[in-house]
Amino acid sequence: MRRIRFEALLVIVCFSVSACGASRVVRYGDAQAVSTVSTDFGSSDLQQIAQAMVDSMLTFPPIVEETSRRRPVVTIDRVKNKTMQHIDTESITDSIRARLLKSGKFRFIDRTTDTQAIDEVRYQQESGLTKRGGAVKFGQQLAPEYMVTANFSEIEQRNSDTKDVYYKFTMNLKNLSTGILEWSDEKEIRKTATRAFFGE
Amino acid sequence: MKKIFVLLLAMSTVGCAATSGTEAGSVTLSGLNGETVYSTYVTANNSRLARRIAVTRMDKVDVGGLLKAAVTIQSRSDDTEALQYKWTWFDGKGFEVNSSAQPWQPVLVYGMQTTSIQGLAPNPSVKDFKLHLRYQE
Repeated sequence: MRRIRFEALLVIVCFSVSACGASRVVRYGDAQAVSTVSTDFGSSDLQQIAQAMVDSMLTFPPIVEETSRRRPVVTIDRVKNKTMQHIDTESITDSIRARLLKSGKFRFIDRTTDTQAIDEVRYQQESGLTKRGGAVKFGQQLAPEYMVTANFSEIEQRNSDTKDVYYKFTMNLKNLSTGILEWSDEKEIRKTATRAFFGE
Repeated sequence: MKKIFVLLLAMSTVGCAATSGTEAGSVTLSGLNGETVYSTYVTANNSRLARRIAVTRMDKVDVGGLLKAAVTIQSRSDDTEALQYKWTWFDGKGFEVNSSAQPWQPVLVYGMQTTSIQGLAPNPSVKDFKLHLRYQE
């Protein structure tokens, strides 16, 4: 009798444990949390890269001196993705640009919306709806003085139990009039996945 | 059989790790004669973390109008601690600045290692900081 009671209790515990794993529960999570779902490029990696690059650029002494007097105009190029993964690299540059803009140290030219901007200016000039003399004219935009370029690469190694991925993000700030690289830095990330029966 | 039961019971409680940790920060105050006084504090909300990781130093410096903060932590353990940290920034009136854009970042602290965690304020309005430190979930 005692054995039957013990086994019944065991079945209840098993059900409760398996039910936790099987049911689908949707919750809002912390978008800023560290994500360790896989060794693939993830949100935490994007946030780490953006933060590290912006902090490095804004504290580099020649950049500090240059931005102390004025806000240089910058354009940002797409990241060259040299990894084997499909990564939305524009998302990385968007995060970096947003952080640099919020620092109040730089101004940006956004080339990705030029087509829409041209359509809007043409509409203002040709539709007749805009107050005379108030329409924006072509040829008034500021030319960027600097260009941000970046490369993203990975080295992957694996054996039967372990997968090790090393990511390297390199970013440069080029002076467009002189051609000089004014700043450059790298952010390295290593992610390792090991096969384990129980979670780490 | 009883051993299996104990193992299952133990497995069902794994994952309930505390997400609290240690907080270290600075506060800017006005002194009696109107002068600016800086004060620092450390709050430990996780006894295991507090025993193993000590905050030994806090610094802040102005870099081109942006506040740069550095918090030095020291391991008192032989083990490698997998931690994560996050900055919170405050303006001169004590309001949080850009709170939604500050990510948790992983940091490994090796046995008995002293390491400095540094952060740069998101904009020039920031006057004070708080560093949140906790174990990786």
